[in-house]
Amino acid sequence: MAGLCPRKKSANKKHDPISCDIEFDGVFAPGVCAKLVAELIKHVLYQRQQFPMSYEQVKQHFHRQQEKEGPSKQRGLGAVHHNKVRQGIETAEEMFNNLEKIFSQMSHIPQVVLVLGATPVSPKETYTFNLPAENSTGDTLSLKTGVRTMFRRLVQKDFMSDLKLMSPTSAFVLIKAPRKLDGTVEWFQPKLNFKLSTRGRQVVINLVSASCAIEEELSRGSETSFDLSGIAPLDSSSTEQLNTSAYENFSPGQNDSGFGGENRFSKSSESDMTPMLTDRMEGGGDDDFIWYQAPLAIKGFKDKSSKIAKNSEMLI
Amino acid sequence: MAGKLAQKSAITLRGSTDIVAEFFSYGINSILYQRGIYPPETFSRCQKYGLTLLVTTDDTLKKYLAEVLAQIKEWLYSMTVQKLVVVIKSVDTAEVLERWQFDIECDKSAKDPGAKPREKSETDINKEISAVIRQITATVTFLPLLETACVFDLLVYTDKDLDVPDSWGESGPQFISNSEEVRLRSFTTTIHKVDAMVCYKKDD
Repeated sequence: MAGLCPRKKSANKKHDPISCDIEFDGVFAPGVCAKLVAELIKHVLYQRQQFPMSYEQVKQHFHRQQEKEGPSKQRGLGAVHHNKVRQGIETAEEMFNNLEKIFSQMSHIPQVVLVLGATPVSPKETYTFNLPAENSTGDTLSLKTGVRTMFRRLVQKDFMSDLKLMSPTSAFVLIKAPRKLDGTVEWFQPKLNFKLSTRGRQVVINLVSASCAIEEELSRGSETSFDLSGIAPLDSSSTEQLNTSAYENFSPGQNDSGFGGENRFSKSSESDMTPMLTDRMEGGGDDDFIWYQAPLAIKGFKDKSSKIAKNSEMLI
Repeated sequence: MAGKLAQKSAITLRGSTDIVAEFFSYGINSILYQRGIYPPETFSRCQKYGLTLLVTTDDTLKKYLAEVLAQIKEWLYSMTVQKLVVVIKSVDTAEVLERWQFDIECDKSAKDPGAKPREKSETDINKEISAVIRQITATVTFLPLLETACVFDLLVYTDKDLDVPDSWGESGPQFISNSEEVRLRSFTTTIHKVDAMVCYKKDD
């Protein structure tokens, strides 16, 4: 009788997404929204062990050290660590500045995603920040109010402390925003074929204007399906049909986007059609939304420069 | 090897006392740093619980904290302590602006003669403590700014019939009028359980 090998347990256990709703009694200007997103990113970086202290403390200590010792003093491993810290801070600052710019350029940004992992498509953890709907109404709230409300809720809910400890990795930022491929969007790069991975731990933080709770449900899109009433979800058979229709509906001699001689009346491949259609499906409604990715990833680091405290060192 | 492993996860009353007292030391230092009670340049970094923490280098403060914590350790060991409160108040007005309260629950059966050590690994306890300290750090983001110079007091709630040491004075609770409260995480050694919360003056 042939021996049986026990089936290996899957190393990647599927976890239910963690969700946290944060309600605000009003709306935010785009610049304030950008800053709230930046604060969320800083919070995740610290809570998920990507930065050894809170972001502001890392910056403070780094600059104080620079003033005290000067930039050229570090050598060897100290220099390597110093450069990691400097790079982490500089990348984060550039990220936050460009977040503000893109928020000011776009009519509405419904979603920002922070991916922790080696690449955006192989995440250990994904943090999706769903932002208040475009048509939210109410008083305009200040950044101070926004930050306080947001962190009070996050601290009370405190789901990140229950997650497994993480080693330093890369943090990628992606933004879902209206399609603008005319070069007006700087720094962030369009990623037409990007799809949010379902691998790893998923955390969803919903920033909701209390007056628009219902509208928020309708406008919130997921990466795998977008509920547009009357439009069936796209699958391969539908793609096939659409391709055929495009071919059949074309009239020779018509001056259009590029069809010309007979040889070019071939059926488009599914891969040509799918990304554009997927984007349209995900954007929904009149606006066409696509993903933009920050060109730099914030690299996490451990503290290599402070001493390790011995047990009971602090006590008599 | 097995013996060594067993020792690492066996918590005695003495061991639990040390762990909790040490947490209070780092916790108080963190609060004093985060709330700017002392200048940031008077703190140095060290690594503990898998975190980078800030501890004071001010000799007077270090001596004061060491004395207080030595007494708290005794009370933890005798299981006669109920709460430790860090009170932050304005220098000018003496108004209490914040109260960081740590409630302590003691499993008195651990004092019984012949009580066996409890099974809980130091790693697990440190992970819980780490979560509390990270939460304290995160809490600071929504607390009102302390715009005036502040000082701190340490209050300890003990069992009623305990003798008060000479260097300690009896005090009122120093509650905050018009306050908000946020419950934070807890950790347990299985012998001592510590719950944390912060109470702060509402920002009008």
